[in-house]
Amino acid sequence: MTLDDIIKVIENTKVVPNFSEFNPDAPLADNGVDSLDTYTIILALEEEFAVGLDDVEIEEIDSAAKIYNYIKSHS
Amino acid sequence: MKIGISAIAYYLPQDVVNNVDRGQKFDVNKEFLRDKIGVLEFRRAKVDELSSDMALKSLEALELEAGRSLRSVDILVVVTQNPDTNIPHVSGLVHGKAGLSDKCITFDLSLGCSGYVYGLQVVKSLMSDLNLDTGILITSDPYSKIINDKDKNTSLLFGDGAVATLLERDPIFELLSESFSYYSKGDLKGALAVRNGSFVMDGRAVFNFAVTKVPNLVNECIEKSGLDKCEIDKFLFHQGSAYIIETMRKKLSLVKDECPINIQVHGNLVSSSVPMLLAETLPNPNAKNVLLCGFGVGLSAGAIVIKRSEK
Repeated sequence: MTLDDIIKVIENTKVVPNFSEFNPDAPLADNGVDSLDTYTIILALEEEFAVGLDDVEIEEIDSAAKIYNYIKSHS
Repeated sequence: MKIGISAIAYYLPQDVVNNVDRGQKFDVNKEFLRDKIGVLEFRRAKVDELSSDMALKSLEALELEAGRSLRSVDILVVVTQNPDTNIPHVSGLVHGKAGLSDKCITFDLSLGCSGYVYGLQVVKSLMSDLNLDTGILITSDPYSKIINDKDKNTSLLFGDGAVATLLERDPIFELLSESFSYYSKGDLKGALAVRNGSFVMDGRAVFNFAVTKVPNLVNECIEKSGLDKCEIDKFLFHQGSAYIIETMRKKLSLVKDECPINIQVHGNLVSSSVPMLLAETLPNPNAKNVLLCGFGVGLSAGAIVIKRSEK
């Protein structure tokens, strides 16, 4: 699994507006992703990488890069 | 003859709540309300207007729709989780206020958003087993009684309303009984629950349940109906939120026209949302095969395909 794999899953959810400008180091909210779209992204990542993320963790790992580091350290 | 749905009517409280104004109090903009939550306005029962009052008014509306008195009905079932009081049951109050027959089978079902499908099966089964002619299923669940107006998660979502459905032989819509499908996952974490008198909702847990479990149930229901997916003209999903409906629609590869939405003007009506959609779909002759699917509190989901009778 690489950061690109994470980004690919996020892209496939099609909830990020202007994905060509997506910044993996920035919070999802700063990439135009609202709270409900975040549910979609987290669910897609949980299903793809067979991990579970609780609500507290989601608040802390709020960017693609942080999500990548979290999943890598928990798999 | 087959048992099915021959008429539907509803009651909506008079007071209209402007959700855009309410959203501003929570810094929720109109676009998010419209596109994600989905609710721009809804009806709210008056403080002294209780579940049995709404249910009775929906019954009276059903008599107008049917064009005759229904006071000799054989079965009355009310789906609610917000009864006037714990005892007696709401259906008993409706029975008394309406002066129904003393032979009328009368009881409540305690279910939330999946309750309409369960209710259809229960009423239909009793009518079939006991060879009865007429059944009425009422959904009446005034969530305004348990909503905390300061809770952003719930106070922008739920509306009040009641729907009454008449089940008879020689119906407009036959129930394809073999297609009844159910899913249960006991909610021990309180995804949808009442705590300290107020309703609370874990939006992410509800979303995950809806978009991971319900599409499978829908496919199971279609398969059991013996129809192909392309033969289903309308999919009437519980109006949980615009975002949930849209996500489920995409997961099931359905086009927007197949999935009517009325949450904009009614809000989430709990067990009444599916029959409310059906009431609006009933006059459309092109809606021949219709899938009904409710999901939510429990966690619980139910689905059935109904088929317009050829007359």
